[in-house]
Amino acid sequence: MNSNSIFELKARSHKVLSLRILKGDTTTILTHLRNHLGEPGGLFKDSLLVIDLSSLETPRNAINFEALCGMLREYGLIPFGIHGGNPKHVQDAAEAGLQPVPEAFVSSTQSVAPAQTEPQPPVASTPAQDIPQEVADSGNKTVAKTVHSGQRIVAAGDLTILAAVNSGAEVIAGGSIHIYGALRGRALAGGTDNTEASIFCLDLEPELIAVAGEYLVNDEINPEVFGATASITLEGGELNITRLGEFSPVQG
Amino acid sequence: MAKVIAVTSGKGGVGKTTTSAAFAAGLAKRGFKTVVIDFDVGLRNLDLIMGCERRVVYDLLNVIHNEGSLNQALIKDKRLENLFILPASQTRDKDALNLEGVERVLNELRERFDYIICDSPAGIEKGAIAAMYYADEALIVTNPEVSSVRDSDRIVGMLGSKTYRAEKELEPVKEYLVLTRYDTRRVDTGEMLSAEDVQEILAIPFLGVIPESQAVLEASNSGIPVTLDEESDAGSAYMDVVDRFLGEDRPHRFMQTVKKGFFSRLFRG
Repeated sequence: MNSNSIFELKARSHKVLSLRILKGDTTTILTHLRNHLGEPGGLFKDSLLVIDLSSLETPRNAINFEALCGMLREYGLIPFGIHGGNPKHVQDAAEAGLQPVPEAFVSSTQSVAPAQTEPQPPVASTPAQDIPQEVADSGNKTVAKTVHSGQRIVAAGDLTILAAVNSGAEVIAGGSIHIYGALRGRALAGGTDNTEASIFCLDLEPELIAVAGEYLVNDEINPEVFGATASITLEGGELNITRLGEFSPVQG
Repeated sequence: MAKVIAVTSGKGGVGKTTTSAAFAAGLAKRGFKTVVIDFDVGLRNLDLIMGCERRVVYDLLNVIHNEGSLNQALIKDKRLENLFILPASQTRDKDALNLEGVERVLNELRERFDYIICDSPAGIEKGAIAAMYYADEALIVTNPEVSSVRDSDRIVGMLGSKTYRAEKELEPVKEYLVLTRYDTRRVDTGEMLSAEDVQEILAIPFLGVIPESQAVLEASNSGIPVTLDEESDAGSAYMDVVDRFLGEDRPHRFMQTVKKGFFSRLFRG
């Protein structure tokens, strides 16, 4: 029997957050972490997380990993590993189900703050200064007018556009994107990690579509779905475009 | 109440200056006191299209920098009583345009004219910003091709964010689409976008198409705004645009391919 019929081993890149603890006892850490993360919510839902002790200034302090992991899970995070720490830390962590992981799992780049929910598009884009950037303070957003070339609309939650998104325009949401018109520009839903997010549009002619960082450019999209009313979801780590029907705009 | 109308497109070579001259002359013909200003500092052309290049003494920048008065710089059209031209400077660059100066000149003109037409340079830099910044309304001149439509779309976005009206949260700049160099045969063969396609993308009110026409080139070369040649297809199309702008109802023309009959083919080629 071929092993391929028993299982499939597949890879998918997934963003791994790291929590770098610098100092303090467990109580202090938990208090400050809760203040920083705010109310438990879906922002970090299903994000993998590594606890990084390599920069610990108080290496002799014991850490209650059970309590720490319990709180992180409340926020939907999935702690799975630790990096650094003394042998006692590693042993305590193992009891809480955390594996020691190499440095490659620990991100050294920018901090993640809940207030800064603007997802990073997979293709770097630095908008010029004159481009209006509308960032919603929180949650969902509805735009009633055509999004023209050079404009960029960002919403932390769901984004609804009641007109077209033109070529050269960019719409970005932490949640799903609904476009009641043609999508001719770029639409990036689900930020970097919300794999439940979707994109819906009446007329699919995009430059780029992305959900949770998985993206397709125009060239990679099956031509058969062009011009169709479509939904775009993330399934098994790949973008799935479903043709829902045809749409013809009312003239005039 | 005087109105400032920017004629803009983003892309170069689509017919902004031709449209500015034709539209201004058309408004003057309809009895409105009209001035057309060239904002293309360093690359001035409007004076040539208007046929007043030999009478330029002072220009827009002289007035902005108080080196000459508005009366000295305004050139009166020889054909139309109500039409005036404010030329651009050819010897300076666009950095010499400052918004305070432009505002002062426009305010002075507002007291004397019904319509102030601002002929924008191509691009989205300083000159184009200066021409659109104080606009009340804007004509977006577009050719029926993808790159021109995309650039116009960018301009439509900027009119909604980078103008005085947008920044002061006043009533937004009214935008109108003028589709120039329209060739119905090339639309039919799919080489060019149709008027419906362009309207659908830009989503702004449509004033009409100007057919690709020999008359435009001839008028430009002889320094006559094409609306003064109302016999021509382009001239009459521009007059329709002017009348629609003024609120008249005019059926759209030049949007269907005319099948040439045997005799017209024989005699006109």
